[in-house]
Amino acid sequence: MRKHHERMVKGTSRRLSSLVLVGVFSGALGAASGALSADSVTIGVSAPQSGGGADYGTAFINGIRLAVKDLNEQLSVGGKKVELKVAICDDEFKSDKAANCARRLVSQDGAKIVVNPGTYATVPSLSFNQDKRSEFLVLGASGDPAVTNQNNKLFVRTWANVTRTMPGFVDTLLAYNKSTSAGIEKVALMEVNSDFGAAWISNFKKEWERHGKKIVGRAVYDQNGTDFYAQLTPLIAQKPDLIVLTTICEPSSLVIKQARELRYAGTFMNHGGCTGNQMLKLLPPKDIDGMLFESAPWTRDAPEITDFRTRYRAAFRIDPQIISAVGYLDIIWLVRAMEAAKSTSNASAIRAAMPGTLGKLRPNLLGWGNLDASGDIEWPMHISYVKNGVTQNFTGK
Amino acid sequence: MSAVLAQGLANGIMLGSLYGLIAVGLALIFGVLGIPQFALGAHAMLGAYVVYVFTVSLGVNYWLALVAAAAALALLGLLVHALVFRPMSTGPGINMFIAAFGVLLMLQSIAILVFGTRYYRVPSPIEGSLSIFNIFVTPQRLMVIVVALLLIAGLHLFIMRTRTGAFIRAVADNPRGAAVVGIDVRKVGLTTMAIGSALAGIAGGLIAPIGQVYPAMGDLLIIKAFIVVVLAGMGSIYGAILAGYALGLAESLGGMYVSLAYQDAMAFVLLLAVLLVRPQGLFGRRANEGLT
Repeated sequence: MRKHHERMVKGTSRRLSSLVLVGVFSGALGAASGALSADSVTIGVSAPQSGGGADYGTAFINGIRLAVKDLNEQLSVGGKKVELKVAICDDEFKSDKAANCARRLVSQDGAKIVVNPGTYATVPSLSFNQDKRSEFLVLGASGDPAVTNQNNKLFVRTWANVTRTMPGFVDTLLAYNKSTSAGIEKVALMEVNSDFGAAWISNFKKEWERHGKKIVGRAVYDQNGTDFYAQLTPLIAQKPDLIVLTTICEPSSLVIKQARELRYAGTFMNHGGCTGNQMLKLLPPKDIDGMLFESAPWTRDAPEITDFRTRYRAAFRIDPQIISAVGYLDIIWLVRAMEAAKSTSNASAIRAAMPGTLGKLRPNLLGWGNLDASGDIEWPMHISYVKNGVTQNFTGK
Repeated sequence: MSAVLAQGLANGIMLGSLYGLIAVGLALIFGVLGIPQFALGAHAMLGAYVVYVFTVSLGVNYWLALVAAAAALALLGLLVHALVFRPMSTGPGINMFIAAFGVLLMLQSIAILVFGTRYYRVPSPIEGSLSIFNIFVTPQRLMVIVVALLLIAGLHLFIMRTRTGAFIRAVADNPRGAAVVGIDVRKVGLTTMAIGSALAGIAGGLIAPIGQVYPAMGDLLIIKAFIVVVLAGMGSIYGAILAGYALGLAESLGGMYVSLAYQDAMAFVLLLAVLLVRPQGLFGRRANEGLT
């Protein structure tokens, strides 16, 4: 294991390793803090920095870096200046590695809170985060309904619970279908082989069929794959009006490109991990004309979202992903909860303070609201679509 | 024949060509040197990056970029053998296994440091897709099949008809005996590693316009290539070619006619079935039988 420390205000460069890596970024207190002594608090981050999820994990970490940079200029808890540190462990997008990361972050780096960007890391952490001698709070960006069925008192979900959001989302999709005469009846499903992919697809299938619509095929694929002809050929043979994709933009764009090579003329829909503007940078507009996206407020052009995007782009020379906003909000929210709890180390107290501080989350890039006892948050979803090379939001119900 | 079945066969042949190309390199290196060179997946990834840099950044012709990828990866193969595998050749066999994984991780880390984690696109030299008897295929996919077959045929001629090829066969048969009759075993080892690495680099360059270029792009490929080599029998380069096509077709047709949900599991089902019936693989050699 390798450790490195980095001044957050100076350090925006990525340090990456395929070995398990722990990086600690400490905030710049500098001369401005004067004679005040600074306590420090370490938040653990389990995220992929190598392997197929490296791009996704880096986007999550960059959001966290931006939050730390913003917060370390102003942070105080209980009247004392606090230095915020982030310890990062490369989990390679694998559950077993993520379990080890969580243990390391807690036992070696002293983290009382571990944040992660997916179900693969959330599920193993919840099996031991309530152990009395080493309890820690988990913030996991998991859409899998199963994670909030465990009655875990030290967990907050930072992604939409697909069981809760899917009925409303399918209603909106049907409204879109009706109002635009899109003619979507037969749907084929391309399910990425992850817990999240399976949960999203199962819930979508259930809701879609509940409305008397047809699912004409379901294929599973690896998002690190290169060739999807084997999955697409039989799906396209069923003549679907819509193919649903369940992963981030880059692998989805590859599936779309290959489907067009196989002369598929219908449209596509992607779940919330990808936006129309991102997809337009990867494919020609004609290939995705009419493509639908499950969207968070993230896709709207609110001033605070535009500001975040601009600052992110300036810091990292790349566009943010939705998971960057999740990383950013995780840290801002946690710090507000620490301030309210007047504690940086009591995981239970910080968790208890989180519902009350959600309203103070600024900027609330994803429109999060109403954290409940199970750990679920409300995450408003709508549909956006690409038309003539422009991403538009569907405003009907 | 239905159009879907014909398309499935075409898909399987393209996949099989790619698996075969990397698996041949893996089988050659294992057959001659006894090294399970899992890092060939990372070699394929670096080959794709070389093609990206030459075609997109420098504006060089795709075919020249492919030659550059082969040359760069052959050089890398020489370096890796001289600096990593050769010094470990006297230790226990497990060292080679661990070293190969170490090289894989190191090469991926270097790619992340140099190129970052983002995905890159390489434009195909001929865009679009063709319809041949209702089978849709892109020119790039046809190129993969043709280039793979040409390279495999070239490798066959090299091994069977040249003096260096004879040396490689001799070392694979009996390294000690080959050394006794004056063959430079060290040089044969370097040559073998360079060939295997170059083949992987070309495979990466061929697949770059079909997929996307990113640090982990070789991971799935090397897993499939390893399955191909075990299916064929460790060290059997001709078996690897056939097993590559068998796996490509099994994945393509199995996904269509058995279960799309378990398409990626077809490879493992096939592997288990073969190992249960013929533990040494379909074309596996018995001890000291040399390259087959």
